[in-house]
Amino acid sequence: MDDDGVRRDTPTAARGGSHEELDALWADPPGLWGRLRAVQNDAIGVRLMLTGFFFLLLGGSFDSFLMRLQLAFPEQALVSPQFYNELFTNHGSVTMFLVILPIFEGFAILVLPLILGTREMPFPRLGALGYWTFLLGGLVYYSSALFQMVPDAGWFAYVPLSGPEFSPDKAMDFWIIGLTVAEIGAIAAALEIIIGVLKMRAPGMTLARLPLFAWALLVMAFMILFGFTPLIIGDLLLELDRGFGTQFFNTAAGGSTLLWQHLFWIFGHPEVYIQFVPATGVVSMIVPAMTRRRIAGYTWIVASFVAIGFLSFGLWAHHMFTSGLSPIVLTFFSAASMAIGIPAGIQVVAWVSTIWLGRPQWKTAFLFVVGFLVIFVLGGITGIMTAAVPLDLQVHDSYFVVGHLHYVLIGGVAFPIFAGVYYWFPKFTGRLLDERLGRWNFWLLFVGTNLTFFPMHQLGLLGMPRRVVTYEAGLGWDVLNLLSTAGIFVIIPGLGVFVWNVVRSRRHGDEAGPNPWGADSLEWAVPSPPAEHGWSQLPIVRSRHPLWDQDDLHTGPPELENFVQRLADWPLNWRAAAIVGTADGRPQEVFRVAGPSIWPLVASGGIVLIFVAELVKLRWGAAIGLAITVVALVGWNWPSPAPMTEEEEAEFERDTGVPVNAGGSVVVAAWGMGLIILFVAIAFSTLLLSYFYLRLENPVWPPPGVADPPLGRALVAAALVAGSAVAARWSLARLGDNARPRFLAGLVAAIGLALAGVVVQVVDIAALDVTGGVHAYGSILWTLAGFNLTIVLAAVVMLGLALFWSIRGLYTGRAHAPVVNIVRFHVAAVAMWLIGFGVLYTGPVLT
Amino acid sequence: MTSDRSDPDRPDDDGATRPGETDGGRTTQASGTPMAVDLASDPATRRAMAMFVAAPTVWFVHFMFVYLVAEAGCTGSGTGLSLFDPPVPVVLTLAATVVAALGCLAVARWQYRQWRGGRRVDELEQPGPPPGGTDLDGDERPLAFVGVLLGLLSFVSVLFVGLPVLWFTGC
Repeated sequence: MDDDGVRRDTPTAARGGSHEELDALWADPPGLWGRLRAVQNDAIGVRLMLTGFFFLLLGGSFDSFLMRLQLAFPEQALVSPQFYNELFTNHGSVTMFLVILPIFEGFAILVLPLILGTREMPFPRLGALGYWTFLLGGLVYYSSALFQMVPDAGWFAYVPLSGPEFSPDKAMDFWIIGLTVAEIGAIAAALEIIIGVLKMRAPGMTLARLPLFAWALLVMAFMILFGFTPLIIGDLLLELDRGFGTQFFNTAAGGSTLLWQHLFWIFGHPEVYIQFVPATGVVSMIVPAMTRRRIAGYTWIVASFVAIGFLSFGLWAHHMFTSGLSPIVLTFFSAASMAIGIPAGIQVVAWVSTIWLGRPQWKTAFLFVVGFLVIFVLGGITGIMTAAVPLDLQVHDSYFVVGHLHYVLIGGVAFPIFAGVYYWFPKFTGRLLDERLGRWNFWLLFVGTNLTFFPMHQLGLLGMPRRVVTYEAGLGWDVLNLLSTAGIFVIIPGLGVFVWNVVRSRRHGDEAGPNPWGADSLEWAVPSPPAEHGWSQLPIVRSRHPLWDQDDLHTGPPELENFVQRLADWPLNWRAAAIVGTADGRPQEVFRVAGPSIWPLVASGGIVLIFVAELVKLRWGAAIGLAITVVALVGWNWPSPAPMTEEEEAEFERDTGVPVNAGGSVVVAAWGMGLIILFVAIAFSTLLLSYFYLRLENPVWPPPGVADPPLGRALVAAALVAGSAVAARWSLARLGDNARPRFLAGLVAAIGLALAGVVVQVVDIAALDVTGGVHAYGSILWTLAGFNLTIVLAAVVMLGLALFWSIRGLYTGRAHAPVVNIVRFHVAAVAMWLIGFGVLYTGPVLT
Repeated sequence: MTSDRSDPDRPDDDGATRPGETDGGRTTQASGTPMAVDLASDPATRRAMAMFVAAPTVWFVHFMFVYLVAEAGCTGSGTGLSLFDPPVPVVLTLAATVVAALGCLAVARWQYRQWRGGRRVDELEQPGPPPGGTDLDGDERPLAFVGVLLGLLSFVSVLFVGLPVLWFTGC
């Protein structure tokens, strides 16, 4: 033990007699077919990271290299203006959508189970779906190059440039469709991360003992849910304008170009923090390990994560300061943009204090952390500068902003990613990355980044606009541009050294041992590389720094010791994981984690087909895609009997006090459905806000010549679907009473009433003299109505499946969690119906 | 919440007295382990969630409210929207700012009391030390302090956003 209370010889995880059996049980099947069915967190996490890095080399590096070559000297013509447009569009789109996010989601899925002291993520198949949709979406996006239709309207795809009039070919369709599919993958992974952090931890790991990396990922995942969903809606509206003739963004027909900017930046600014928050989580893990000092201000950092998560949703319009918003509105966004500097500053103080109080080991991972601090603080300061409206009016769309954002994203995000790779590489390969190469790697990147991007600030202040293919000589920009291009020639060898280091060290690096850094968090207690199941015997956490404070990881209160020992030996024929209370970390449930399956790949293929059908305008293909997706989801969730008896289940519970649900988790399923409802509710809220925004942009609503919608049939439809929700709830209560016939009758009634409501509503809408293609009023009316109808129909399909399985006797008065969740979704869908149609039918009258 | 576990009043139940029945029968098949299925039956979790989101949510609701009122006042025209013509946005913004700022302070005070009470939010519902015994980490502060910080930060942010209308009022 050192005088600072931090120990060098940290405890290790107990291996246990069941180690080999568990390892084999949790391994993914071998061979190509096995790889396609793989769901294990190691496989999915590594794939996400490698795919993200592959897209980085393809889009981040190649594009920027060509752009910098073109700008090295004035009046060059290395690339054509059109090609230059494609380069910067691709560079922004790929790095923002296909690189950083999957890398962090990969980190999360790979590292979280070990850090949290559990065996898996809650939904391994959802993780696999997330990966496949991300990969296929990225490939669809990139396939535009094969067809010579590379998107060229900027990564923000502003209308009207990206609309049907000015981008009539399919290039922007590739952008919308490829990236939307990838966004769906991101949301799937976010659900997985939220529930993983909140519910799947080691016994005793209370919220107050949660590692900061897990806090950061939790906040990131919620931000993905709240940020990506509005973008998916924005993409939907843009594709409707492009492919179906709606008028959302056509100002000549009641639409609004600013609506797109709002929808895009409601995603686009949080996106920066979605990337930054997990990076700060990585830094918060490395700093204590490398300085041998407990992190200063743990609670302050947690508060900062949460504060950044919220505040980042109130800054989006600072990208729109020059778009003519009213001054009163500008002040709101300017103030919020400055306020977010407070939590970011708190974090910096906490890290610097920890370093100050500790004794740094100057390993490569720590060098990257220090590099991060230097570059990020500079980028943060220029961010506060541009939050001031008067300055932003001057530097908007200039190279100053390009310099600022690259300081934030390379210093604030890429450096922590490198730090994280150097830090965790030994855990997953068993070998250390080479320190000498690491130093070359760091210094080349550090010097190269500053050389490339610092002159951009000056160029911006001297008036150089962004997104220009070339510039005249003699404007004072020549030397600075040449310096900036020279920087790229330092960065590229830096990346080359990194790749070489990874390739070489993977086979020939020094052996790492379980805890090469003497770190405090749980992942360093298991062998490097870890077994497939991670933990044979789950740890019992009694401290925020378990490896520094605990002599033994498996001792604690007798009931917990008994629980983790029992779980190490039983079951050995199905994948068991523990669920704990969100706040208190007490074991709540043991459940069966899903195993390998081909259905996630099939489902993501179906999802991609739906979108690709729109891309190639063979819309009947979408029906096939939908059918494949539904079949895959049904197959995915097909109940399989647990390989054990009820007596075994009951015995384990009698022995440990913790119930067993080998049929699937009650707790995790309830949380999953809750988050899905949240996702749908966010999408719905975005459409409602779009409705009100379009209303505000139009002095007359509905447009002249269109009558207010009559209430009659809509009220009947609303009564029918409301009755359907009541019937579903009633039916559920009968199941609790074990009154099976009445339960089934209630389900049938719920389905029938909902279908009747849908029919009445469709008849009424069709009878209105409003089409979607003439005016934005009709566009939003049909879209919002279609959304509500679709959600209720999805609930009806789920109710139908519940009915099917009920008739086959799957559910009992004791075990019927899926029905409860389906009814929850149905009730939520009905509530959104009532609000949505309420707005559509009363909005024109009341406003 | 609807139970997805057994109901002790069910006719086919053995009728034996079990621990956990008072929570509405959310017990499991073997020995009646209380079955905390979701937030509805897990007050400690609900309290922890509230601690983290209460003050920032007040901030966000305030932000969206003043923004939408300003948009309605500056952009829209129509029978219902004329209610928001100037100077109504400024008045509403200031009123909302006062209410939201007080709300943030109230949250901060509530969390401060939790913190000073020396009881961790995660052990409020259960007597005795948290699982795993007392914390060995001497400098660990109770998590309720996060709630205090978020309350104060939200308070400052609400003032940041709301008060500039004292100077900038134009559309």
